[in-house]
Amino acid sequence: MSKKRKFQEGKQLLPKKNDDYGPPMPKKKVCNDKRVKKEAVTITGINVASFAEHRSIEIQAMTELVNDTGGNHTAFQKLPRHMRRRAMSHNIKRIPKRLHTVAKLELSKTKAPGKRPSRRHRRRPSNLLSEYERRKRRVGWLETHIWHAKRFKMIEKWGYRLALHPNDKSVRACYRAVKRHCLLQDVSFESYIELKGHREDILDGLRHFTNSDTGPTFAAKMNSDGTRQGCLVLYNFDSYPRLAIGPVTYIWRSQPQGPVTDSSQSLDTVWLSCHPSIHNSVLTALEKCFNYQGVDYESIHGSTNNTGITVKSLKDHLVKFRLFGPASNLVLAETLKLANIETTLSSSPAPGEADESLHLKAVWWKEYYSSNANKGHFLKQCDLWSKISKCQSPSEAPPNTVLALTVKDPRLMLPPKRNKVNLSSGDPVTKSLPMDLFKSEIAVSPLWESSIREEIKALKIFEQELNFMKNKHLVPGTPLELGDRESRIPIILIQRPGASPLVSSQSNPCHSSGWDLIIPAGFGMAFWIALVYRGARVGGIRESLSTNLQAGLLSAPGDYPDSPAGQAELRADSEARQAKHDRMPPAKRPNFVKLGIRSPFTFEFEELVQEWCDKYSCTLGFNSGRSKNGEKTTMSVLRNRKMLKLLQSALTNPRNFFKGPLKMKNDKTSNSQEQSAILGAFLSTETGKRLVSEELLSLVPVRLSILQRGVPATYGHICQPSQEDVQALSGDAFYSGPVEPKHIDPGVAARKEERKERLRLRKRQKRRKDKKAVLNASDAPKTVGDSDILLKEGKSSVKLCTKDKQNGGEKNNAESILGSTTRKIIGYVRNGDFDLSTGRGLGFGFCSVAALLTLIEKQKERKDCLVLVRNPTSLQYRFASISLLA
Amino acid sequence: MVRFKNRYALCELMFPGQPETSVESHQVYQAVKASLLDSHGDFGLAALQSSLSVKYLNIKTNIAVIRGERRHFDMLTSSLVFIRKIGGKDVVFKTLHVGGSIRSCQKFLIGHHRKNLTQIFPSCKTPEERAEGMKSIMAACDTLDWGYSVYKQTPSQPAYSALSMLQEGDGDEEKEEES
Repeated sequence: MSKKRKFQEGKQLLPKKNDDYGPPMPKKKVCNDKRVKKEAVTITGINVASFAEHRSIEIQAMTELVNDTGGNHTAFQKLPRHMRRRAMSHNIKRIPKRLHTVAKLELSKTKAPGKRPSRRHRRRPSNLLSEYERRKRRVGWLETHIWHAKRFKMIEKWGYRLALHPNDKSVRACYRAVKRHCLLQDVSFESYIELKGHREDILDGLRHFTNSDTGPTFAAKMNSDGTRQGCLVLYNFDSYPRLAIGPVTYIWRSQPQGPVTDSSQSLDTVWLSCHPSIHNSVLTALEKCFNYQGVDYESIHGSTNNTGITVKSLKDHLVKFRLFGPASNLVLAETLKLANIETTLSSSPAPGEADESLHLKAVWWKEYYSSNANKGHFLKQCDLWSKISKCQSPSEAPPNTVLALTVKDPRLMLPPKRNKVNLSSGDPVTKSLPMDLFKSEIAVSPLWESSIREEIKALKIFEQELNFMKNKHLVPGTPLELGDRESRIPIILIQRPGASPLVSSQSNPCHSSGWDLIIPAGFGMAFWIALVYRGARVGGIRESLSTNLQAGLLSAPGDYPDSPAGQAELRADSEARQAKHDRMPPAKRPNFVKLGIRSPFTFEFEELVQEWCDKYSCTLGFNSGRSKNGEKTTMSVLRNRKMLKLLQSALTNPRNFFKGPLKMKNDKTSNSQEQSAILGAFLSTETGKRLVSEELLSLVPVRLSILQRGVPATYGHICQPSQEDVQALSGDAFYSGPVEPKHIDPGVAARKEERKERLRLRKRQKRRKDKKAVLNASDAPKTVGDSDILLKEGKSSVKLCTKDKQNGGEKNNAESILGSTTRKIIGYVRNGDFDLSTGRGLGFGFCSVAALLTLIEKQKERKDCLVLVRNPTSLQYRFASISLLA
Repeated sequence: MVRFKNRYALCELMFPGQPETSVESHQVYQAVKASLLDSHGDFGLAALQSSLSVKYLNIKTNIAVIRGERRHFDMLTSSLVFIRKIGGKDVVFKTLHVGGSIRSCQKFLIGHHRKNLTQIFPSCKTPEERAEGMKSIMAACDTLDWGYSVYKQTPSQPAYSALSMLQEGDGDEEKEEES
């Protein structure tokens, strides 16, 4: 068809071209000479040049047409039918030889996909493994990756490929597991950093990263003997309270020997565990602090620290599993069977006897447990574990206890089928655990030695070998007895107390308490399968986030908005939300201008804090020079323990708090007396004011429990209720909250006009198109050009429209945050969800300290502080009670 | 499905004694139709009218391609002979080639012109004419790009020669693009 059309076009165009050629001359065709003569017509003359020219032009046109075979054809496709051969594209030798060069060129341009190996070949273990190694190169894989990848939604995060959530419907099931049974998560991505050196030197260096205001530091006595895990927030070198890095947990190596003559033993070791998003920054900060040899270092803090402290990353050396829920004790008790460390003289005749004799010499545990001290520690640990494993809940053990054990290879005792351990099976009597059991001996573990870790990994029996031995086992189903060949695996258990003490009074105590299980690398899958076979339900990042929200714990790194990692996380989140919003058709997008939401996808903490600070300092008559300084500094989060305690007591019961001094006689505890005394300072005296003013520019994490309906959503507003709102609520207990009046969108008229214009253009375009179809081909190019112009016009108008929108947004931003809504914004919701334990909405957000102080002042007479929460897609405010979270 | 088959007649229109005559394609069409009616009557016209069409007309070289149904195409060719006037001008139709597709006609035309061009060249008298003629011949050869091999082909098989030459030409062209 196209060929024919072109041909006709040629017909139309050719005469036009020819107008330019030479003067009109009489012409005759040479080839017709004879005939012409016959007819006796005289030849008047012939212009040979123009004659030749016309024909030459026709030849050119015809050649072009004939050559154009239509569409893209390869060399051999242009061959006539009878010269075509089967599979010409496959084998170049089937193409005529004179076309070989062309065909070769074409072949080189198209990249052959290459033969894919057969599935059978790909699934062969060695090939599969090499394929996994290749895929692991870009992003890290946890040891349980393959297991998760089959069952979970995997996402790339923090340099790892991590499980986000299970593929089955499991939100409630996971909640139930945390509440009543056991939820399991692989948190091996939380890597450890090892510091080794003299304790004083280590503490001296670490002092720069912490501040005692925020709670116990690395030097805390409670944690120093290694029986408890500590937790704190690191700051950049000497920059407290700004420039936070993020939260870390740490354990000291327990060395109960005390006076040991060996000099190497006197070196102390501490493991810092941190989130992968901050791992590198922590590591570099520590390395800089301890190993930096430059002049600056010397000038900052003398020279004593520079003595032999090694900083080492234990990334991929340890595997860490996290268990939540009351049944985690039971699941662990079933999984972890204590190893037999007695050296059996008559080694059992196992299949590989030659191997065994080799092992006998060098097995680590024989050497390690040959010392009586170590054996003694092990016996104590066994004793304690037998007691703890009988407890009904992990919260019965003291919080953050570190317990070391050496256990059997869990693959040997794997139940034949996956089943759920029964909670009621244990004896109901709760045995109290006497505190004197928890001495430093229980935390002594060979896991701290890197040489032992490596040996354990090397001596691990391969899965295949184990299966073979199971196959050869005489009585199937009974546990294998491997004697000395079996691996003894040192592990460390760390108790997590669960719900933070600030919120535990509200929800059930010790919600989400559990254990962290640290095992040497290489045994991840062995323990994982064993735990799963005991009925532990597995969750991903989503489950841990929701558990943390319910327990009132902060989850790294998103809940630390003053750290670079946290900010990166928030930015990524806001970008994802913005992208999702932009994907929606305009009619389905909420109009955030009308809803009065200034920033639907970002937190404007800096501006908010600044505005509140200015306002508060004005009312209290502070000098505003402070705030001017504040503009330069970045936002910080309040972590001062004293301040937080004060704020918390004021927030949870403002009436009592303010009447405190009067009721002093009634309150017996001296604690409250002290508090009230501090309170006095805090709001009345000048020094107190100064203390407050220093923290005015910071944020504080708060927990929001919605009173009636509604679930807070991320980027929602936390607002201050007006007096009328509070009165309305006290009058009517079912008052659902005030409504924000619809805001006026100044861009509506302009947008409507643009839309009209766009529709008009589109209509016109369509009409043109129809016309074009009707018209013959002669003026086709013209119409095409016109429609192009139209298209361009349409696009430019759209562009204008978007530009206007942006301008509108900028205008909005110029207003103050506090004036943007009828109820003053005091903070933003970071995360919110439906709380399945209370049946109400639950939220977590950040508020300005200055705003909170104003709120407390306004609600002096109430028993609890009330705030309003509004979601970014709604005009409805909801009442929520507010408490601190830290 | 059975395809509706056509034939295409490649004709040269000769206007004896009338230099620089130009006709429109619809005039050609009317002339052919009238001649059909004359020579084969109502039946002849009716048999061919639906398929009759002038597919191509070059007024400078006076070459036309006329389409007709294959079954009755001999009626068309026979009636072409009797056309004496088009638009009031004397004309003689000379059928150069009858092909099954426009493409084959085009291929024939290339060979035909090429043959004629070489024949006309010796009749150039002035050096200017010679130069001009040479120039156009060269231009025609450039597009084909199979210059020399032209003369190897036997004139009795123009269609085949054009095809085979074309294939060679394809390869060369692509080579040029590469470089």
